[in-house]
Amino acid sequence: MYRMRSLINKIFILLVLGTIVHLAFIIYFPTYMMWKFDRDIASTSVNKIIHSDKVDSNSRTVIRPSPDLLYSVCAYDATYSPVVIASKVLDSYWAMSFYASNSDNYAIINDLDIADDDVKVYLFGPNSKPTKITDGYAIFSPSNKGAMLIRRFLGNESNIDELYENQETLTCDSLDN
Amino acid sequence: MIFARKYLLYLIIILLIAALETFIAAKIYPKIAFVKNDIWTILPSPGDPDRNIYTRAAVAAVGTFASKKPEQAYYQTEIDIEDQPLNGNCLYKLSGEDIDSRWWSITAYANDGFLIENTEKLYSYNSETVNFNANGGFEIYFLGNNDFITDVSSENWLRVNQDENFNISLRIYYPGEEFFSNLKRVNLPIVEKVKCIE
Repeated sequence: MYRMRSLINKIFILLVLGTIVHLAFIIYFPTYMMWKFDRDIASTSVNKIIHSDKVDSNSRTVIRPSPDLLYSVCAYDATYSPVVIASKVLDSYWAMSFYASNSDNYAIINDLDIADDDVKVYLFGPNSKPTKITDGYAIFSPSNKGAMLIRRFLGNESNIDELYENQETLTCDSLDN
Repeated sequence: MIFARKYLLYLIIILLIAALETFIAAKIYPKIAFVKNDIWTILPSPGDPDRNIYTRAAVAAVGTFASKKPEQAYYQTEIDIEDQPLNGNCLYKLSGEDIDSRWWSITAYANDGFLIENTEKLYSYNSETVNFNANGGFEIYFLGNNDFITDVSSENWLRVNQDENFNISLRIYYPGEEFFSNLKRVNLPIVEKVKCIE
């Protein structure tokens, strides 16, 4: 009877520990994928912009890339200082999306939200002291590290030169720089 | 030594349990989380910060950078209206009406989730590039064999890989309100098989 109870206890403990490992994997898998993206794409260029060309069948950076969008990405690090992101805004679909280190899309600003021809965003990390912003948007990242992704609609590509020029207007720098 | 071997065995059992639970979750979760609308499936809140841990993991496995509502509705299908897998040995016609949105696009992907190589360098049609018919609707054909070109009665066609299954994504940016309130019944294009290689 004692051995039976001991065996049941052992099985129960192993099941609980197995479930904890399973949940830890599920919780941290998105963080791992973001880390992998940072490592593959932006490890040498934190707080620097990386522009992609039009995607095609050779594109392997992300699964299911959209051939109708022109992307730019900045892997940011707001640990020690807020990050300032600025760009011209297009009249066609243009969206700036912010992703936390666990891949949550915690903020999006698109061309319909912005009245001016350009936009400036101050990106604060969770430990940053917020300061009053008068010349742009203040966005609070739930994690010190993450990614900012810009999507531009290619449409029928009649304004593709303008889209590539728009890439060049984008900056992503630490406020201290 | 026996002591260490015993705990190594426990560790292996724990990892096996974790792997089994993850495998079961991967099999069951899509059936629970994805909303089905005829042939199309959609995750209602793929990028939202309040999504659950399984949605977050599922999205990370297939896309990473998903948008939160109401930016985008993202549908996928890998079957036709007869519930048969889409395969490059057959010719398919996708037909629908213009979609209530800011813009939309339809893209064919290979089984590995990447774009399909083709000499035309054409991977998708969007609301600006598709040729609408006289009724305001549109058809897009998917073919893996040049013999099917004569059967295509539209300027809109995408090449897929012959002998391989493929899937189709429908991205809708700034979709109408019905795409959130009536996900299961909102009107979406249909994909039907026209013919196959004999």
